[in-house]
Amino acid sequence: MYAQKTLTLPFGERHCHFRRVLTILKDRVLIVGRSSSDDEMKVAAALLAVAFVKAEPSMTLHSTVTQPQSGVRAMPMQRVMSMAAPPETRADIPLAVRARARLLQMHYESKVGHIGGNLSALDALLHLHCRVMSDDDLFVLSKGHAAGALYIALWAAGLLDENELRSFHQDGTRLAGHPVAGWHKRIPFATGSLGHGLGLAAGAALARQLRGDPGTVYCLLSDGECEEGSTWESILLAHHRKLANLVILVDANGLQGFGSTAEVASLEPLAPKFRAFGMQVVEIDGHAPAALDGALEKRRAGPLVVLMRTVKGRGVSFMEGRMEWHYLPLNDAQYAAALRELGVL
Amino acid sequence: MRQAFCSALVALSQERPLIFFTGDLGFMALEPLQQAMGRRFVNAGVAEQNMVGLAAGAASTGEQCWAYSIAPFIYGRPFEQIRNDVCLHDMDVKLVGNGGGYGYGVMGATHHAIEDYGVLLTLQNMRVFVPAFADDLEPVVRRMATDPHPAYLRLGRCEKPNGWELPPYAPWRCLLAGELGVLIVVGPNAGSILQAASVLPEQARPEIWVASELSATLSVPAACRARIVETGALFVLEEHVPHGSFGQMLAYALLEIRESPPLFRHFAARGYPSGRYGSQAYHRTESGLEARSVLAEIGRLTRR
Repeated sequence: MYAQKTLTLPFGERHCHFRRVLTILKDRVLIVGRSSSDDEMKVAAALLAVAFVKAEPSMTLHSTVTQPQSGVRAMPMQRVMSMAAPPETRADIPLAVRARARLLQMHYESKVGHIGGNLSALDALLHLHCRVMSDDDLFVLSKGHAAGALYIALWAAGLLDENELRSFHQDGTRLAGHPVAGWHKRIPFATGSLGHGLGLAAGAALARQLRGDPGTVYCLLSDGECEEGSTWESILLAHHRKLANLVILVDANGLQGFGSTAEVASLEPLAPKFRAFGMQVVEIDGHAPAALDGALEKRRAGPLVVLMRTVKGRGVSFMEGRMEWHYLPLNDAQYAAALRELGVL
Repeated sequence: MRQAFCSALVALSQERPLIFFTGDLGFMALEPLQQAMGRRFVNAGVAEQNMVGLAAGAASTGEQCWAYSIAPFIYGRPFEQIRNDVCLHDMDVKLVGNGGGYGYGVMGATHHAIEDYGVLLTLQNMRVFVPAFADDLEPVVRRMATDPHPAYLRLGRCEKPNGWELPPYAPWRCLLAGELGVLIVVGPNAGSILQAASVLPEQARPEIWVASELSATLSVPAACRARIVETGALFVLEEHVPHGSFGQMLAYALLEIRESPPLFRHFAARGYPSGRYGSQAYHRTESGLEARSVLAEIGRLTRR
């Protein structure tokens, strides 16, 4: 273990001996050596630590020598250091990639699942929170199991700091597996039981309409959640009250808890069903921010439904379209493989 | 009590902004409120889950919201919305249920609410108001409105005896002096009890109290506690099942402060023991809640 005070020791060119870094955990660098000696590992860790301290002064670093793992390739030290740097310092990596890597890191470190549904919603959440929403707007995450994607979107938007993010799923956190309310403007409600968010969003939109307040209320549903009857109660009223300040985003990834939406209780085709309730519906590729912009521009007098066709596990090939990634956490090899696919490892 | 409730809310709506939701009920009672509130009177349709979600969502923007239905429909169907959306967030949402207890009589068991406030008092931040008389509605509505937390108002049918002068409203009130222990009544049954007890001599009846505000932690007034200790007999009457009832909470509270009386009898709703259905009076009788039988039972118990 190296305390921060030891990190300024002169190591000369010894960092050239460093060969393998698997990942960065929230409070340590995990180094995997195949041919290097323990001493080389320690030196490499210390060199990494020097760089980290510049970017993350609060970080305490440890080096851990572990057994080699198959399928892990060498990664330049500079690359590793930049992964932990604040997002604004890595404009060379697309936001969607940085955010995915950070989401995977967060879930990997806390050994938490729900990754697939987070990845399907992530592109829309990123665009919404980083580019679309203003201070007058409200966001309701009805599919509360996508909390991780919301936290990452808020982090990417500069509305959640790295320290808070590191507390995800830990004792004493405010970043629970499903959102808890009362501490962040973009997380107005505790959600997680499906079928609640749209009623809450419609209520907030109704109150704003009655007062003539500006702004839009955005609500993200899942397609499986549309099986909840309360969702349709809310849609009925939202249309009846002409809530033009309400935008309903549906993350239609086609998979739910124990099967595909087609197998369990198919509502497809979904768009005509929303239209039958009088809603304006725009169907888009849910991973294309420009398409979301285009859909929002088409808003007319009443509430808008943006039916976003998405892929569960989007961005990680072995997760894409697979129901089990509703639940599974990542193991070491899967995490490394996922980062490699994203091009950050 | 619906008319009294409506009048109280009309007055309130003219003093402060609020949004009123109804689950498509209130015909022949709430029209004046609808007239007074205009767009802020929202018929949310036959969709109680959404109605409570709407109320919580609107309350999150700073509005005080009242959501109305008949008692069984306001707490059962939307229970999770009450738990998650209203109570977890400590929203300023007032739930109003008409016809608590066996109030809807021969309309059938689906229309009864004999476990409503016990269920709701298990939730975070919830307060319960059970006015006993129509005269209570004005002060009760004001107290609810000034407390920005979730609350449930159980309405019933006023049974105040003709010509009876009530003391000013208070969460706990002593209505009638008596010697045979202390009888605490929750809700409108207090009127029938007063009617029956008033013809008895003081030595042959209990001291009658009415409790109208319930919370998860009961605080029993000192005067009431003193009489319970002095007489050694406590009786509770309520149109609610024993589980989660006021009677159970009171017994617990007295146990905690080591003031449990030697004699305790709880007159509570027993459900549908015969499998037959009838008026509110019919079900009260089946549960042993009819006023004269309650007083007779108290007389019998205290003679031992």
